[in-house]
Amino acid sequence: MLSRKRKKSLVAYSFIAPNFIGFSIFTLGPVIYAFILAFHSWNGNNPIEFVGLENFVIMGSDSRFWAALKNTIVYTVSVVPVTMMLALGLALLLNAKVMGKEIFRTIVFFPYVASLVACAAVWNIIFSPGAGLVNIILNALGVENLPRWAADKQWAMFTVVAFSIWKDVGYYMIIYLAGLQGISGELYEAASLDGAGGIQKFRYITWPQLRPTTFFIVIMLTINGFKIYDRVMLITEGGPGTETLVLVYHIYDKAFKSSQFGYASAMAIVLFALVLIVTLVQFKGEKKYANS
Amino acid sequence: MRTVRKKVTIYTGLIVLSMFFMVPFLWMLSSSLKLDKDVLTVPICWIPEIPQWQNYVHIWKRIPLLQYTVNTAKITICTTIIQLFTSSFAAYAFAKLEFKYRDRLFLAYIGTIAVPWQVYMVPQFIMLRSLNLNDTHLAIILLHAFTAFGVFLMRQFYMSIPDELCEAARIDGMSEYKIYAKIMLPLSKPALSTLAIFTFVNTWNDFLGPYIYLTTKMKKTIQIGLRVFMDDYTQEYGMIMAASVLSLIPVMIIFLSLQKYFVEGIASTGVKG
Amino acid sequence: MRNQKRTLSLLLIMAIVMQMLAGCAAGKNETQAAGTENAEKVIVADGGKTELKWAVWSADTQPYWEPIAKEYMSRNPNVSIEIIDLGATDYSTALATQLAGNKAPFDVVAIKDSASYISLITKGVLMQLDDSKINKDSYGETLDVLTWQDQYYTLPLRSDFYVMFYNKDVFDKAGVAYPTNDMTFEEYDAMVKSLTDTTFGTETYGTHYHTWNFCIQGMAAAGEDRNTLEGDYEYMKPYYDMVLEQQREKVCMDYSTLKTSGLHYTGAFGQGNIGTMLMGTWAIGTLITRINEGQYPDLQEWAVASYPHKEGTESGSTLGNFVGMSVVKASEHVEIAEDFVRFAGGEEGAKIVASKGYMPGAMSDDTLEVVFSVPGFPADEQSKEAILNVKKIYLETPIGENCVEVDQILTTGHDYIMTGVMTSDEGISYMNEEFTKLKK
Repeated sequence: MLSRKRKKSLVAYSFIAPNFIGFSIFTLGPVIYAFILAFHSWNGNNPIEFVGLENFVIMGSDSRFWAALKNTIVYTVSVVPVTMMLALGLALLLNAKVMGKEIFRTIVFFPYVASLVACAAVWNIIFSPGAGLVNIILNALGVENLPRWAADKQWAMFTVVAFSIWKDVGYYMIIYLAGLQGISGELYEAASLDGAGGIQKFRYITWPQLRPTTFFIVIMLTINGFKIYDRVMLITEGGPGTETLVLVYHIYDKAFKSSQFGYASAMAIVLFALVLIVTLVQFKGEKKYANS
Repeated sequence: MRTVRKKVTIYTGLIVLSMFFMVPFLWMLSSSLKLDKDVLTVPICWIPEIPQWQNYVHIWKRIPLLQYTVNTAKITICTTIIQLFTSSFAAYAFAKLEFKYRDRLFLAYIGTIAVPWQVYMVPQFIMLRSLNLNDTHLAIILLHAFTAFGVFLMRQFYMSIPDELCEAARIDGMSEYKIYAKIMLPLSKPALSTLAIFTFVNTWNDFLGPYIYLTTKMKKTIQIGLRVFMDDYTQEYGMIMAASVLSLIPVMIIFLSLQKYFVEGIASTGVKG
Repeated sequence: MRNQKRTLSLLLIMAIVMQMLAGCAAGKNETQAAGTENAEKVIVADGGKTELKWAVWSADTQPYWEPIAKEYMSRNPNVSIEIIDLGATDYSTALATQLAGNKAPFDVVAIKDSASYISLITKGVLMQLDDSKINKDSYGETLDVLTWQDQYYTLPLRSDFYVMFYNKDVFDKAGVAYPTNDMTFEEYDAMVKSLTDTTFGTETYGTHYHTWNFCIQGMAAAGEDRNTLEGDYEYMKPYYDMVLEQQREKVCMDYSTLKTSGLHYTGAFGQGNIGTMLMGTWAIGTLITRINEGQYPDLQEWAVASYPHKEGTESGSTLGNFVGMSVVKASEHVEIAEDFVRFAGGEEGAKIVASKGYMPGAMSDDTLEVVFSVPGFPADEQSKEAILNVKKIYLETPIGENCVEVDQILTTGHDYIMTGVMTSDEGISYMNEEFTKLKK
């Protein structure tokens, strides 16, 4: 006779099983294999050679790797807070009694859905150093030394970050909207009866109730930030020079242009470790809030 | 007076914001009606002198767009359904059930989200090929249907549903499966709709997956079809944009129809405050 | 406890399975490498058709792939060729991925660039071609630059080179004489400046450079007879300075604007306000097609002239690239595959390629006459002479060790210089430094 706890566990496992099995075979397996590759040297065809920590040693003196690491961190730190706050703001705005809010929601969501190629092309045209809309406006306002945006050492990263925020904010807004829907209206009614105003409602009801949602959004933003690749490629191609080179681009280069799968996997491990640490810190933070 | 001014500011702000967000669609629409050489002129010319409506006719003949759309739809719908059910199923356990190694397993899930696909793309390809699944739609469905993202999203949503609901049901003698089906599932309409939208959009717009796996022409998807117009020799923006506009339509339909499910959630289920 | 063990063992099994698969792949390669030059593969000899799978790109828009396959099949009825289109963007990546693990989903592959070519050779994917069966005379110097360690792994189906495209109407409007086939870089510079009109609304550009790094760097290499894989890039300075000055004076479009707008070079030239363009002969085919489609109503009279040369040297050196035909070692039909490669990359294939307006690899004066007779091809005496006069082709990306890494250094340096982040001196120092680090 199975113990009650045992029975409970088995039931739980049966819930997880369908997803976990598929996940293990098609995702987890290859990921583990890729990590094992980090300690080997392989070009896709020749025999796989074990090389121990050699890949990591090479990484130390790879200047492109360090440039990519720095750029990726700068990118993530810029994108995460801004996107989150904008998404929250928009969700609050478009959850209230505003006429035609469905239409506005669709409009904000639009860049996320539209083809990346089209979005990037438009963004680049608007920010064109020559006669793009932005520079025309700035010129009319009397600004000298117009930034050359995607081709400018100082402004390239800004251009990429702004593009990402614009493209993704609709996505995260939708998640916040779903989260807002889950908050019981009774809580707000009770607060009104107690005489609470708008800001207080937000601070004591909305924000705490949204914690799991916020947690999800911050983690996804962080992870996606570290993984950024195609956005950068289409706006600046990592340029000018290496100013906006990001880690995944360097990994992709080494894997598919230089056929150094082992070395690329080693860099992926470093990326993974970075994300893991940040995620763990965020997890611990959430647990702390949950218990307080 | 104050509320009127407030309303006017909000609406003006919203309209300006909308312009900002709608710009790519307007550009796509405008470009799809131009001759290629006019698409990238700087400054942008929004209304083409002679609209090239024929782009929308030619596109169906230049590439087998109908077949591509059917393929893309098939892959996307299958993936979305599998994602929705297996993810929400698993997420319930992670959010509401106690079992050994729950948190560690969950961490393993999130861990894989952190690994960029480019990293394990080749081992995954070799594995699927050894199962003779290369050049099949099934391979792409399997790739996308089991990613950790769905489990994560649903779990977070379930966490915000009060435990009391489940406890009460357990005390009443309901099995976990019944609790899932009769309580959790109906409540998760907003989250399920959200997940459905994301899975749909990501799979519909996915390029690299179909690119690597599908070599037979008639099995390809819309995104690959678009690339035909973007090779080293030329960039046929007119065609690309016409196809892009067309491929947007199903996605927008899904989005608009699922919007209805973003309704007031728990309020009516009577949580004892 | 039981479940932990279960999960662990599941993971372990998967890891082992992966290793086994990789081991199989590796093992197969080892036995192949250990064997002598291409053990005879059994050919289907029972009267059934041998099916060859051929990987190419842009099957719809490149008009020579299919005719070549059809012609070969009509001459060899026991062979059936299936063309597989991997797409043009990222073709080399898709090809490498499909061929990973030493599987042979194709028997014959088209090679798109030097980096992919070398990579496939070093991975043991491409088969060495029997050079006793190759008719080397038909190729001139083109074939020699494609060898690797003195062995032949590919035959050029196409061999394009750079010429000077020029728009006669722009020259007429500015009252400038058409270019000759013997222009030095200084003369070229002066000429394009005289064509330029910077009036807002009716801008005319004397010349147009695409954003690829070798458009400028290759120009330096061809002019100075250097190999870009060998470092020491000071020789590029005068060329960069010339182009940077042209950019400043709006003789050509701004690199940064071009890069972000993604304007394609045929589109630019097709706009009709560009005087000259230094570009490869493949663009001729594209221009003809697009003009026939009515896409470029503002481009009327155009022709080609020789690539400029350095003062004191003879005309005839230019930049170029190739499209190769190679055999996959792991194929089950290597003999027939090799025969097909010799057909497509040899004189027969050359005739078909030429009939579509593209420059073939096996170039003879007769084959070139076929090219000239394609409708829409600039067939005036001067254009013909420009094409017939080509003596030495410098590959856009030369074939040699580390070509991928060097190319990355060169592309980064080019980007820094052309966007103005670094001066030409700083950019060249940067490239030299990185090159030295690489070679350590």
